[in-house]
Amino acid sequence: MAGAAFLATARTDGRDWMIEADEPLASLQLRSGGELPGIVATPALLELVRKARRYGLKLARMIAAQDDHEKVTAWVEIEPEKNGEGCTIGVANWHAEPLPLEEIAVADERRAAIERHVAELTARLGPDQEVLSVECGSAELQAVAERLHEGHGRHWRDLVEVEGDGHVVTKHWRQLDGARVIVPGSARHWRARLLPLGQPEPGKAGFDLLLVADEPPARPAEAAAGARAVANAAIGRDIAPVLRQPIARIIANAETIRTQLAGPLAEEYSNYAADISTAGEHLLALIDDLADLEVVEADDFSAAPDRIDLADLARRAAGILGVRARERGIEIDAPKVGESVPAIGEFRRVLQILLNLLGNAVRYSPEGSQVWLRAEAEGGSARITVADQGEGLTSEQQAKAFDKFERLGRSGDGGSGLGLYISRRLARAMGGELTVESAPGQGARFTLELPTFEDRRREPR
Amino acid sequence: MMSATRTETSLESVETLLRDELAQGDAMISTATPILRHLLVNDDRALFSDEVVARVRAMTADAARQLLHAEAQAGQIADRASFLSEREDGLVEALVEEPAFLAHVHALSLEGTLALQLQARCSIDGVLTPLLQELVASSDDFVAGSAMAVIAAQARFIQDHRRMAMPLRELPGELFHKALLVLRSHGGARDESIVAAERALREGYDEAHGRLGLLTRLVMRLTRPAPGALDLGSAGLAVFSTALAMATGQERELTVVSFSERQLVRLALALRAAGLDQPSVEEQLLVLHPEVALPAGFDQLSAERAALLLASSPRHEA
Repeated sequence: MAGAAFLATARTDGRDWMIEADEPLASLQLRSGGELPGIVATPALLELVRKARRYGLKLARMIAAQDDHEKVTAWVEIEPEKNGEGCTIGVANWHAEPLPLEEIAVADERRAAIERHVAELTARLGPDQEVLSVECGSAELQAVAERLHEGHGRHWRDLVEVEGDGHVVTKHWRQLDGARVIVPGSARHWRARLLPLGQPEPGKAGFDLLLVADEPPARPAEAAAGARAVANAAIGRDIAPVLRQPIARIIANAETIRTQLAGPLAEEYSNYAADISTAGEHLLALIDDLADLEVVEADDFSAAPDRIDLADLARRAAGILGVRARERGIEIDAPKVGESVPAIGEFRRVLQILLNLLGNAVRYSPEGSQVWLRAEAEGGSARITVADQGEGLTSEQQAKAFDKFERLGRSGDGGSGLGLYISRRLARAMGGELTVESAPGQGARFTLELPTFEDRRREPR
Repeated sequence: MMSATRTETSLESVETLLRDELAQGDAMISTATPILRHLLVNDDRALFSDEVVARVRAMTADAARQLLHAEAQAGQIADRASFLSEREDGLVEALVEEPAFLAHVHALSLEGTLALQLQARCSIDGVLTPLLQELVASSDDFVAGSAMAVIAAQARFIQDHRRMAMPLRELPGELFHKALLVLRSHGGARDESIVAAERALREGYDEAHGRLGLLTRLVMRLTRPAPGALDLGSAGLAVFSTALAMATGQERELTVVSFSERQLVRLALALRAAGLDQPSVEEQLLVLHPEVALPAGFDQLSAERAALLLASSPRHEA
């Protein structure tokens, strides 16, 4: 059976040249860029012929070949000639199919997407390639952009110099797509890309004209420096969300280990896991602080003027930190239910300040002590005070307490030294103030003052 | 003086020899445990089961015997039995040193083992399958003849598998060539008979008659996408393996290895890349691995993405 009934045969010589071939092998040889006679041009076939000749073996395989519009698979049997140097090739099961159009379309689409991305000038053209609008992000193309802008409504080709213009009569988009464009004063090489819009006929709804350079733009030194500064200041917006997730996972896994959910574990390891978890939580808090810092230091930072109740906020803060306080045996004395001290400020920012103040008090007060939260309205301003029974602050420390990264000599507890700084910035952004009164051994009293409704009415912002 | 030097030299060389031998022995001892542990607790028992290892050894020995037999015949050696037994072990050792040869024999022994398992478990015959039966009755003479030839080749394959034989004529061209090179380099002074043996073997070889060639040719001839050829239950393991390898561009050997337990992902991707829809993929997997489930979201994967994933695996080109 095998070896019989070949569709086509061919012969090669000792140099692996194809010296004679039947159709369709001959035309495949030519379409693949080969000659007849000439070296076997289809790589898979050449490899097979070489092997058969070198090994002196009859080989039989399926080969696959591809030219620019067809995919060919064929069964070939190759027999080294008995007394010659070459081989005879027998072909059966020839199967040719056109390359899927889809692949070509997908490749085009991808190229267009890339070019849209790197284009330094984009213009929207109407169906007759008349300029409708121009968008330009490059100084080199500014002059071109202006010409296009001024020539609103005219064919873009009349406004931009295209290479070899003298001969080009056509204004058909297919011919203009990919044309070289001369940009006076630019050392780079520019191409125009026309991306047709609309269905069913491409260009029915107009075109996107892109000017794309072959070379990347030169990067000015100061622009690079500026970009760096921006990068530094983007912790909150860009980096914090990215960092938060992995750290949260570290914490969650460490907690799993610590609580021995996955099985019993030696005590030390459980403790290590607790350390990991704590460190992760501190890291998370630090990221939050840095993100906040960035927000409050932004020039355009402002807080929303909500009507809030300081007593209610104090009760909420006490509720949130109640567990932590109880762990340390600290009693929080919050305003009684029913007490109300109205003020103007942004709800979540005020809560943030109170959590910071109360958190510090709980963290740095001796175990078994008391922390008071007092809200009161007095003389047109509302205030809330957080008082503790801790060591208190010297006047020097009080002066520094609100500085950025000030830790007041504390270390190793995971604080960032940003809490009070951020709190005061927030307070001031809401038209209020955050102050401290204290003496060593007397505990500390932090007071947040905020405007009231009357205040607001008297001096509208 | 002279003799003293010679004694020293030979003493030295003896010591060197002993030292080398000792070092080799040490190396073997140090690797023995990891290898043994690997064989004992390997995750994928099917790939390295005692049976498969034994079969690979026996099949390699069978190939070596055929080579030596040809040599003995060409050299007109009277006592074939002792000629063979003297040289067999050495030649087996040399053949096993050829990774491509070893991988091929391994894949064949896996295929044979799996074929018999499927026969026992799901009554998928190793030789006569519904698809082949249908093709034999085809009005297309070529297809009918091809199918007959495949059935005959499969029957030989199963028998060879049971007998742990590795006929040289069934080797792909490259490996046949390699086996002859091994024989040549192993032959030493018996040059002439080896040259004659080689010539005879090369002349008798025709890849077109090998089982793998016949399978490829048959699958090529089926209409595309080959209906039934990618259905394990109907096509049988051999046609299925060839069709899947052709549809995905993977080596057939790699395709066969991917049927084992721990290669589920490769198999699933290959099936998807071959254009099978979700129910068909599941059906094939159910035959091979009744107990496992596809990873969640696998049904979202397109054939193109699956092909891309496969192509990006480093094993693809190997």
